[in-house]
Amino acid sequence: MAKDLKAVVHAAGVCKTYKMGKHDVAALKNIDLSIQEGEFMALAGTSGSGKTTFLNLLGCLDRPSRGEIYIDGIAVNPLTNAKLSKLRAKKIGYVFQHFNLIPTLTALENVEYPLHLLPNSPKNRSQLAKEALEQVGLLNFIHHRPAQMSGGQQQRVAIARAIVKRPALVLADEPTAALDRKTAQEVLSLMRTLNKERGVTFVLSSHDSLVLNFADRVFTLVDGEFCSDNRKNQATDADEVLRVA
Amino acid sequence: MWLRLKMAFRNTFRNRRRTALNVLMIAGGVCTMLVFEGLVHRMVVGLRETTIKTQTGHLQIAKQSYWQKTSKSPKETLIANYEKHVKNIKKNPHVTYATGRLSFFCLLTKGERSLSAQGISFDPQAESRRQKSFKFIEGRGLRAQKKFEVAIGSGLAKKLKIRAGDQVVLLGQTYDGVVNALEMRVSGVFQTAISEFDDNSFIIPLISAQTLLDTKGVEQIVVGLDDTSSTGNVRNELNRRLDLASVGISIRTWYFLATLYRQVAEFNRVQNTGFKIIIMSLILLSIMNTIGNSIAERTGEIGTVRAMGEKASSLIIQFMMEGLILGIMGAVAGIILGTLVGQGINAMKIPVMMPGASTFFLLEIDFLWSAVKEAAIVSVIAAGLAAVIPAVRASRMNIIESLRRYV
Repeated sequence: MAKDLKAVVHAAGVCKTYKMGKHDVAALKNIDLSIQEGEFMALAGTSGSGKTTFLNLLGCLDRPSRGEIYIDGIAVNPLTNAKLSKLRAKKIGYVFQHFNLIPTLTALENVEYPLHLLPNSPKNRSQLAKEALEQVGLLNFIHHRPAQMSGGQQQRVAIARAIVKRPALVLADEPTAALDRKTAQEVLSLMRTLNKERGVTFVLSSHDSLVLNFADRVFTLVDGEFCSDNRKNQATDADEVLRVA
Repeated sequence: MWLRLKMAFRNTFRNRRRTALNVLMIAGGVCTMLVFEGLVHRMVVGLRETTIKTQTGHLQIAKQSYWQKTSKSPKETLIANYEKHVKNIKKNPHVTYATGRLSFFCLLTKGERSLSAQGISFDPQAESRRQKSFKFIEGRGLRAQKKFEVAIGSGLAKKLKIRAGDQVVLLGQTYDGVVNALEMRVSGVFQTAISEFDDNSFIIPLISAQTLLDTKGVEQIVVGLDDTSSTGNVRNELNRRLDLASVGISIRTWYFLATLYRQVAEFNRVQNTGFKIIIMSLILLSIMNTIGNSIAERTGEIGTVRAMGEKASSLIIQFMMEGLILGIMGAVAGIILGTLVGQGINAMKIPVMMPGASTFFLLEIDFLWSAVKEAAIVSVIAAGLAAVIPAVRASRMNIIESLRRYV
């Protein structure tokens, strides 16, 4: 695959192998993918298909066994752990299945947290965090702790936390799995709005058809191998795969 | 840094019961350190002052031949013109008394019973304070106007069945080798903190000893000061001003002379150090356990912040802050508790008998700023260090594994 250095994400020939006792188990096999700025992409696949593994590689939380990954034009493979931390702090936002807010911090402090990892003045931090919370409709909840908020509200705070530093890429691992249908729809709508209005690049991993319907592009993995890469308005082979699975 | 400190505080109070137990544990350690050190200090200072008052004085001035025991005859060790020296010594404003002393061995006889005993002679008027450190359990001390009176140590009095008011005979030898005897009246029976002294010694006025030994000189000039801490300065001033070395006389301080005190002080220093190490280890293990548990509970949170780009070193700082907060809270609580316990013990006036002592002491705890500082530093450093190992472990956690343990 030719290098697409303008892409937010460029993965070429990515493999990931785990050791299970004496055996090597291939979790990902030779995956190629390019994601352009402003895309709203879903990483689809059944449980064990390798989508979380791939998401972890794209999020620089793990290193590929083989192949190359570029984030916003930066080659990830040669980076030290400290440099990977810097890259994550600057370029990548995360939304987790269980929100993963820090329970001792208020909504505002949770959203401010990623800004503490970058050079920012305290005033600027607070201003940016409030703006992000306003965008997710939670300006009235800035002093609430996670335990004082509903699941949907917590996930909105998590989204605000992911976008506050204006990252090149937001990764969301099963972002609606812990939410009811209605709240899931609201959270997805919010992400979609942020994507459209602010041009935030989202990559969501999920096997939920609701998520897949929201995505412009669905990249499907089956047993760690590429299965399909469908843009919106194309017949979704992915849906078929999921139905069969 | 402010957010980190805020998080450290909030995390410390996340499990209030565990934090309270930890703070209590550290406070207990600090309190024990303060009380123990205060008690030991009181006893060591007590021993020091008793030794100075009953035995050594602050300074002793004698001929080199006396200190080195090199003279051929005891007479050569005497300072003949001691009164001139005393007059000069008293010019130092810190000197409360300066007087001559003679010590000798003689036979103490009452009726048909005789025992060899050590006579300690001094001027009862000049060394009036010295008599205050003798506890007279019978009769009274020596009086300046009563030349032929003797006070006997309680152990010695018991062996010879001597009571206050009895007549005893001192049979000794003059410096010229002539046998001489004095009939004396027993003014009282005394006890000091050192039972060995009480078993073998008696005190008589210097003038009586000089009569018995047929001399006008003294072996030593004993100097008392208003404050033990000025001993070194006064010694230097006397050496400089009186030029004693030129006449073969030298000065020794109470510290040099008080061998038992030095041994006890050294023993206590080693004991205190060992005690502090034990307390520090307990604090270390306790906090290590707490931070370890806290990390286990917050694995998901650690994974989350690491995923967001938090540096491993920042995580270590975060957990060390939590350890330090626990240490500071424990130290403050321990200092308050230790002060209260110390005051409580002092108020109860508990009598205790020290090994080798013949009288009761009151169990007293000194409040020492140096001990407070040391206890605070020991507990805070122990707490900070205790957090390092679990914090380093936390910083090395696999992010993906940590994230599986969601917050």
